[in-house]
Amino acid sequence: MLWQIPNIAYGFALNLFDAAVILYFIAAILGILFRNSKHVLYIGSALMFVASLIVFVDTVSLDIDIIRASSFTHLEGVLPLLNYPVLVDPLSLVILLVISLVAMATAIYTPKYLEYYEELGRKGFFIALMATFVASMILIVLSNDLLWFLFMWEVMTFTSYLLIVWEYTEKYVVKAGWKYFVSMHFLSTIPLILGVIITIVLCGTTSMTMIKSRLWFLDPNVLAILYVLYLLGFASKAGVVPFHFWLPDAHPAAPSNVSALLSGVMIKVAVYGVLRFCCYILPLNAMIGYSIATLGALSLTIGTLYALKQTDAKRLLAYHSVGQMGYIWLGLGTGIVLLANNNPLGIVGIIAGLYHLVNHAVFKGLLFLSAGSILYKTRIRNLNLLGGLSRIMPYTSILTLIAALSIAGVPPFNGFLSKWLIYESTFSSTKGLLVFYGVLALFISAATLASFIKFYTTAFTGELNIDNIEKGDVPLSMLAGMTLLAVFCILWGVLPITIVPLLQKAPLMLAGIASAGSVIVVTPLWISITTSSFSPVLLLLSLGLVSLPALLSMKPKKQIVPTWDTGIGLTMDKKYYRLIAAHYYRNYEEAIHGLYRFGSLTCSSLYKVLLLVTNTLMVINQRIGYAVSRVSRELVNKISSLTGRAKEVYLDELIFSPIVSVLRELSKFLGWTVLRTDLNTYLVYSALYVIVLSIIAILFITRMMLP
Amino acid sequence: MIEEIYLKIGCLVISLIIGLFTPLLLDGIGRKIKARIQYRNGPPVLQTFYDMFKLLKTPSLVPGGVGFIIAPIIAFSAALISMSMLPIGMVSPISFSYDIFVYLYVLAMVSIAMMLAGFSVQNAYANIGANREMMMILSIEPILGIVLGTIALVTGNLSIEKIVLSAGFLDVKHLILYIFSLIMLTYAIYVECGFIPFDLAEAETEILEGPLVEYSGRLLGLFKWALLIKRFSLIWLFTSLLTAPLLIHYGVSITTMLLSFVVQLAVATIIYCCMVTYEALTPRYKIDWVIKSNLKIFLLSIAYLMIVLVIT
Repeated sequence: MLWQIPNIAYGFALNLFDAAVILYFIAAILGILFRNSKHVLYIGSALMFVASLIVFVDTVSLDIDIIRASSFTHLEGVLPLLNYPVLVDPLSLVILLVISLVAMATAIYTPKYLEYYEELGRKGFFIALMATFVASMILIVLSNDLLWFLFMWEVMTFTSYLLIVWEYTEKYVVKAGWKYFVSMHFLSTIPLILGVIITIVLCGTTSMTMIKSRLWFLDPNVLAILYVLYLLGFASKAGVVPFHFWLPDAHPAAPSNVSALLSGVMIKVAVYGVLRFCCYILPLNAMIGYSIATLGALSLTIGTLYALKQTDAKRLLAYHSVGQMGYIWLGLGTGIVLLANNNPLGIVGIIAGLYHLVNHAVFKGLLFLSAGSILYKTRIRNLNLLGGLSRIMPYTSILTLIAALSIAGVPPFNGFLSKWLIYESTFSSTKGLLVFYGVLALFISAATLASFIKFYTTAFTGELNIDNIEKGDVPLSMLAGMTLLAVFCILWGVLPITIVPLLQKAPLMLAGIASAGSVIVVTPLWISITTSSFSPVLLLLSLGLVSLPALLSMKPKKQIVPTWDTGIGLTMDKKYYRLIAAHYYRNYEEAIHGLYRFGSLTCSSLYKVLLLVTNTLMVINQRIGYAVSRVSRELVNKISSLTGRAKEVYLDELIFSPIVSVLRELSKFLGWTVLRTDLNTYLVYSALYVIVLSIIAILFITRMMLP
Repeated sequence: MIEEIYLKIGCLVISLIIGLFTPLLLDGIGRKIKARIQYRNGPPVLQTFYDMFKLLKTPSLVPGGVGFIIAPIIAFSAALISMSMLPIGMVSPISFSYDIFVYLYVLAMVSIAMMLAGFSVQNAYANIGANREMMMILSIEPILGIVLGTIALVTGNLSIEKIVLSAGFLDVKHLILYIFSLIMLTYAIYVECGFIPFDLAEAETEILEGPLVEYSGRLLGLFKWALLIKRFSLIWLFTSLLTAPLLIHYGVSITTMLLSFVVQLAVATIIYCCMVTYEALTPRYKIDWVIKSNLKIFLLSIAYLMIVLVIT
């Protein structure tokens, strides 16, 4: 009966969520009504900021409530005004925190940044889309109803598509947007719809909490189908290898503030989906843990090694989203495996994954905003052409350095702590595969560092080599948005106590273990797990204690001299007296070129196999069609020879015409995509689609055949 | 309890003192050894102290921004505080962590500062040096990862303090694996220390000390000191994994503690001298060769990891 006491507080919390969502809607409606107005852009951004702030504060205060009432596990109810079924537990709180934080930063950043897209106009409409996008993500995370979840998922996909193709005058943007739209529907929405339909049919209810209690009695075969469908649906949305191909095209194509939301938040909602569906609604399973960890290890290796080669600022960041997503999945997968084996160390794995999720949202959001600031100032994305920007944009330079060091995992920034927890959980898991993945993660951390040293130094250091650029940093509001994220990069790295208690509650939802307190202990100074401990504050303190005397005794005179020019003067323009982005790490890339070749070979052979499957399926369909029509003709002949007269019956049409008409509509739709992307994409998608459908059909038929 | 804290604080002081000055002394000894191998008389043993003293007296010229000035200071402090994580004999000094990954990352800050400094100036030599440093890290990091992974699997610990404790009580099967891991660690440390042929980042004879080419005076002195401390810190890590487990059987008392410290210092000196001797007898190689050989060793070490996984 502990419910009764805090009930008022929780009702109030729901009211706040309600208010926030309504504010987003007001922003959206205003934006749609006055689509060309510049003032609405400012009003809408302000509304979005306030709404996100409300969600942020609500999330943090709810977390405190949860800590206080330890018996409280989750909060069910409806948003009072919208009548929207709600499930809030620590897992959703983590994602809500991320969404609201990055949304706040982008809301501050957006109005000034949109000047970059001045000629496209429709600024009000942009903020309407963005508000809807954020609101849909918040509602996904809050939802306790499978159908609402699906609906909001679709709203999220559609608004994000519209935002990605904002710069519709560029051909590559339209192409990338369409690739995203089609991929998402084939690989994410369709599997999810199938999964949800199966779940609802089997359980007879759409409420997640009810389903959770009923699914335990299901047959393992059906559970396996559900696992595969959900995993596919969420993995492709999260951009995990091998479903990542849309991400390096779509994220750079979007305006930078949208990229920050896409990379920072949207792919995290997919992680929420995996945890919610595969580990909360469906029971925990070691196999699913291994699959998640394997996908994670694959994508962290492949994503980051491909990122090493990129010289386009935003494309580089997008490949790193794939790579860092791999870290998150590796941590979560390790946690699930260990929890399924009743090893309490699994809690560390889950916390590590969620910690990296939160951190990645912050620093990747900041990095995309930095890339946006560079674009805003110079209109250049190619790192080969940039250089020396710290001389005109000192603040942006410092903020980018913070983000770059965070993502590279340099202590005492936040990326280090989460990576450290991931190493701890994998290396001490005593499971060979996971230890190997841990080694990969350690290695890839160096590759991330390499990539971000390249990103930072090519753009910001050296001497300014861009002509006709006006002095002065980007506008103050853009800097403010970036600073907000940078503050959390440092805060969550130095004081883990500000975030870990929130994360600590989340694995308890999954495992039903009494307390995480014994496995991971956080005090203001220390973060300790069973295997070892670390104090970021003391690290910072000792760094400072040693460096301060050094700095004071150095008395570095500000005597600026030109760089050394070989003594006899340079024979070239000084502009070229440095490495450009394409030259970085070339020897290393040549040494591992076998890996890149293997990647492209795999892609092409996979494509060939899919093509073969499509062709075979088409031939089989044709044969079946012929056979059925022959049988029906024979049947008609037989009957007419017996009775003298018979109505002509075409069995094939009877059975197949509905299917054929569905397929025809589908191919019409796909044919439309051919015009927008290319033939290969079309063929591969149709093949994948047919394969998925046939697997499900086969599984269902075998299931019905069995007693 | 309070005595233990005093002991730990005492160890911290000792570790900072040996961290600051032993590297300079060892460098002097190393120069003497190299000179003898090349039939030269060589500088006095304290020459590195004189060099450092002179450099630290000289003001610096600054061709870059604030980062250019901060980089050597960060490198120096990171190298020095990494010493506090390693045991002195048998006792670990008071520190922010004993975790082996934290140690690795704190030490990596030296390289990061060096690379940022090298890339921060408009100078192709500095850039090439920083670029090579990053590639060296990229090629050695997976090997180091596997070594740590195997040590973690064999001893069941990830904290240096506990690894040292449990390594003293391994059975024969695990002990053999532990020794194999230490042999691989020697290779990784030799590479990370930047001895020839892995000195490609600084490469005095080829690219004029790479990232340090623009540095002069105090800042140069500090950077060089930081690199020497980093070398010593890595060798100290190796010796603490080697010597403390040997002496831990004799119980913990003042004499064993002192003895283990002396033994560790002696072993560190011997290892340093061996590495310098090997360095003096080795030619320089191109970066391509180094990366390729490191990749081969990585593949070998994956095989070793498999063996460890099967056995444990």
